[in-house]
Amino acid sequence: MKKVVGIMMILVLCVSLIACGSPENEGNSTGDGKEAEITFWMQKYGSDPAVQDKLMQEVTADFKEKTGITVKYSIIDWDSALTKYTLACTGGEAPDVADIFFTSSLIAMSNEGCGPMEVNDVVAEMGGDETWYQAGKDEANIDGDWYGIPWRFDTRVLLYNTEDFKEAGLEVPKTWDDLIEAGKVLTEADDKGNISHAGLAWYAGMSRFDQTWFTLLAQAGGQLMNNDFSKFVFDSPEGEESLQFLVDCINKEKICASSVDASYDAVSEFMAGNVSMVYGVTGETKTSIENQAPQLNGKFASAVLPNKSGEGVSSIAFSAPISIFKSTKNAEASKEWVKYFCSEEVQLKVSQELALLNSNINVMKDSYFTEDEWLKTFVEQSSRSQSGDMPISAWSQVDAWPDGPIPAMCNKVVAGEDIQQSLSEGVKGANDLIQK
Amino acid sequence: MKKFKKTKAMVLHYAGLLLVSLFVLLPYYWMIITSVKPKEEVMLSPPTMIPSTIDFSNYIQVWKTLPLARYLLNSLFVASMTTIIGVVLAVLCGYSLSRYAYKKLQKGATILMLLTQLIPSVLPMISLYFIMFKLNLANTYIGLIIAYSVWAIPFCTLMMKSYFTTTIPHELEESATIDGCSKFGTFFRICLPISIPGVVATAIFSFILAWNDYMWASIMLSNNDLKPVSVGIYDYVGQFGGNANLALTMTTAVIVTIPAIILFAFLQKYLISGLSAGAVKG
Amino acid sequence: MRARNKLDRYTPIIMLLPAVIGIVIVSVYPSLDAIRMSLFDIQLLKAESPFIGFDNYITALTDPEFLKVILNTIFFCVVSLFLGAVLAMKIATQLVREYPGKAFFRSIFLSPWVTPPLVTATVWRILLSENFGPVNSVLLKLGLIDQPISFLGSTTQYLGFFSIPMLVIVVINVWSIFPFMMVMFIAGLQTIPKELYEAAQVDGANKRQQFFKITLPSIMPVIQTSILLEGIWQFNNFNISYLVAKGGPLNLTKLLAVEVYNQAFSNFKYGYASGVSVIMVLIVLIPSIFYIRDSLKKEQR
Repeated sequence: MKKVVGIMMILVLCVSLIACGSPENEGNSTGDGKEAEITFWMQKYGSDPAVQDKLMQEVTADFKEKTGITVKYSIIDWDSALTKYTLACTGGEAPDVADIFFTSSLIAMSNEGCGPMEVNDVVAEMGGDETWYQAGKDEANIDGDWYGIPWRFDTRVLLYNTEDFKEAGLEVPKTWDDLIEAGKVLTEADDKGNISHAGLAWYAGMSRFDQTWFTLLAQAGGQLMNNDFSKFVFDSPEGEESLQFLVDCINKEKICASSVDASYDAVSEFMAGNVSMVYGVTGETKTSIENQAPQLNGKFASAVLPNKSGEGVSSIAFSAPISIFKSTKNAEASKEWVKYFCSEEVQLKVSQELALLNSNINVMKDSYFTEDEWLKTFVEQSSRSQSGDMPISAWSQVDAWPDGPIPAMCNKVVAGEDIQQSLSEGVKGANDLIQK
Repeated sequence: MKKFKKTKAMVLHYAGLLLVSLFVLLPYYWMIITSVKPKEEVMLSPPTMIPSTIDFSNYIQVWKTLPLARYLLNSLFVASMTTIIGVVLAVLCGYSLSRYAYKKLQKGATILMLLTQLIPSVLPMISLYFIMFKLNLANTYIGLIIAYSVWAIPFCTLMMKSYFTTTIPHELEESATIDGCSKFGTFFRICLPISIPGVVATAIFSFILAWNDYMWASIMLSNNDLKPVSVGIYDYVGQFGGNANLALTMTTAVIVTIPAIILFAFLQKYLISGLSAGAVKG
Repeated sequence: MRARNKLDRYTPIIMLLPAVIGIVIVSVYPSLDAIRMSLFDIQLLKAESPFIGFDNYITALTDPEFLKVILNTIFFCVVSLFLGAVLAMKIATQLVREYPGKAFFRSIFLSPWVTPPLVTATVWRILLSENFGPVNSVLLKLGLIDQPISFLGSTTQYLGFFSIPMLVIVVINVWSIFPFMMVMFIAGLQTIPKELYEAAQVDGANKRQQFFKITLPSIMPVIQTSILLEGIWQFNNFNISYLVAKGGPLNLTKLLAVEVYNQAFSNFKYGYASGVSVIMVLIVLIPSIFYIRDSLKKEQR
């Protein structure tokens, strides 16, 4: 009798499990026309998750009203995003539309019938090539075909403490020399040389210096790769100069307190008043400071990054596309969503809510950007930027953090190793990855 | 003299415990005070050790913005189901391994249990993910539960095996068999009731395993509704993994951790009594 | 009656089957698959996956950086175990004595075990921050140092491979693992009959002698089991190293599990990553074989 009861219990357990499991299984869309439904994955943006959630609810509700298509969105955290897209491209669960990155790599690894889909027709409908910045094109257009619509845009500028500058009677630096001058005036150190207040900090969280170095390389007039993207060429005089500058500010000129310490965060130090300038911050930084350190309100501003000569390129730019996955069962609905989400109107709203810049040139011309003190620097900077991501499939490996050859090279150099050697090791490592 | 010695012993006893308590509690202390500091005080360097005023607005903000209740329920559901399945399978298997340890099948199973402990968790994840996906179990509770239960089984089985071996006298079983009881009946009616402490210890272990896992959950799930707490905390880690809002991160950490600690304060008695009586003698 | 006997005969097998089947599907098959992958050059970014035999293993074992990671992992594992076991034993012996507040302290000490690894890593990282952490702040106030210590950034290497960040990771890990060992030890200690101690006291033995001559030998089996299990788990530890400093600075805190993760999920080199994980299993197999043999021998008793 007891045995029977036991077996019954186990059966009930199994049944209830299966019952619980099935309704949660989203899978891909049905696309049978009556109630079209598509899935959309996007990463986290902004420091307040509620804002993004509310925004997406509004946007998807509006879209449903206009087209009758339901969009189920998922917000993915950055740490697992690459893994999820990798699995999606190699046969695992895939969304209909997604906010991807490393486009070239995802395409290279995709199995038959998986991965980003070519969307030349959507691009044509949205105004063609010239609608977006070059960096947007670089990331979304592979070998002449468009695989996504560029949306968010990222360029880096200088953050500085206006009170500190006023007190010291300084002007915003325009060249590397100006920067060093300003840094020296603003830095306070004790007799032993220990910095108690640093003039400058590289915008590097969790000891990640590669993007800072890309900006410096651009400012020195150097290039990461040659013109047809077949070889890495940063073991050039500019490459060396930029690495040297990175390190000199820390060790020689002693105006910079950055280190390879994982707990060191430049913007946090700025918020605490330990640093006067942060080199290479994103558009979102202003909201962060306002949320976390209200005591600094009105005491900070942005400026175009200085470069070696004072003119020309002085920063890097990144862009990312919204792509449709080939495995979608409802390509039509997906394209509608992409057109809607990437339309100027919606993109302006998205950029405002998530404190992002935009790849769409027209969107960036809006007064929201051009008349805001903080944001107009970014508009100016974007015309003086070059691409930060290289459009090759091995880029995700070359710039893999923390182990890729370029981030490793920057870390070694900051930690004090020989620049020549690190540079040649870095270039060799990067080129090896392309050859393989 | 004796009294002095006694007092000295007592003082040393508590002093040692207090010192270790400091080490153990420091992170929790910091979490709590950072979450209640007023905004202007959070990003001070060097930091203040005691908040100047207590401000609970962070809690209200986190509670409103993150569906923490949903995440906690998800974690609770997944962990509970894992515990039930894991414990049932482990107890059954452990009993079999204990009572019939001389048989080849049981010996083989024991070795299997021991060997699976050696496998680093990262290794099977990719293949396992694809298996789950082909079975349409990606993005489901079941997919999580199956994996967690199976990962908990080896340790729990071995623990129950030792427990059964050392606590249940053969005479008890023999008399039951003589009375006409089936093998399963003996297990269910006689041995199991005695072994409740061991079962509870096994249950606690499985529960914690499922509760704390992050990697498997984040690979399997893309649907926000199913997220357990261990993944949900990541909501406060923004772009490029950095520049998270410190105060809100700490607040989330408190909301997520403190209830679990309080719960286990009550359960620790069962945990320890469950592990004793020879269960750990290997 | 006969039906019952038949079912009865198969009962032992039925009882163990679900668990074993589960393990075979979820753990054994994927692991065998991974072993298979380690013999091929599987890289997601490349179209072909040729069979390359042991090349992955050779590449790994002839890479000095990789050997350093192995050393890091062994150091991490052994030192965490040692410190954790000593701390756990010290606390356990105290918490079985008849002083009030036992339950209270046990509850406190259990806390690290139920704390999610992400919370552990994030909070400890803040605690040790140069400018925002209380550790540095207190040390400075007490005048023990005049400059904040960069716990996670100091790249000086002592004796070739260990460094301050590595020691820090070990400390955080000890914080995290000692509750489990403490609980195992307490359980074991509670089985030692009090009469043994009383007799020893009558014979004039002091506390120290009692510990080494009675306590330690009595719970040696418990110690062995806990240490071996924890040893394997710590050797495979991924969370602390990855979440605190992602293996940095300069790979000084990189452990083997993190290497597997990086190779698989950042570099998309599944073949190589599988090879590294197989190497991990082989390394850990050596001490484990003794345990397995030992515990099987005990069965025969």
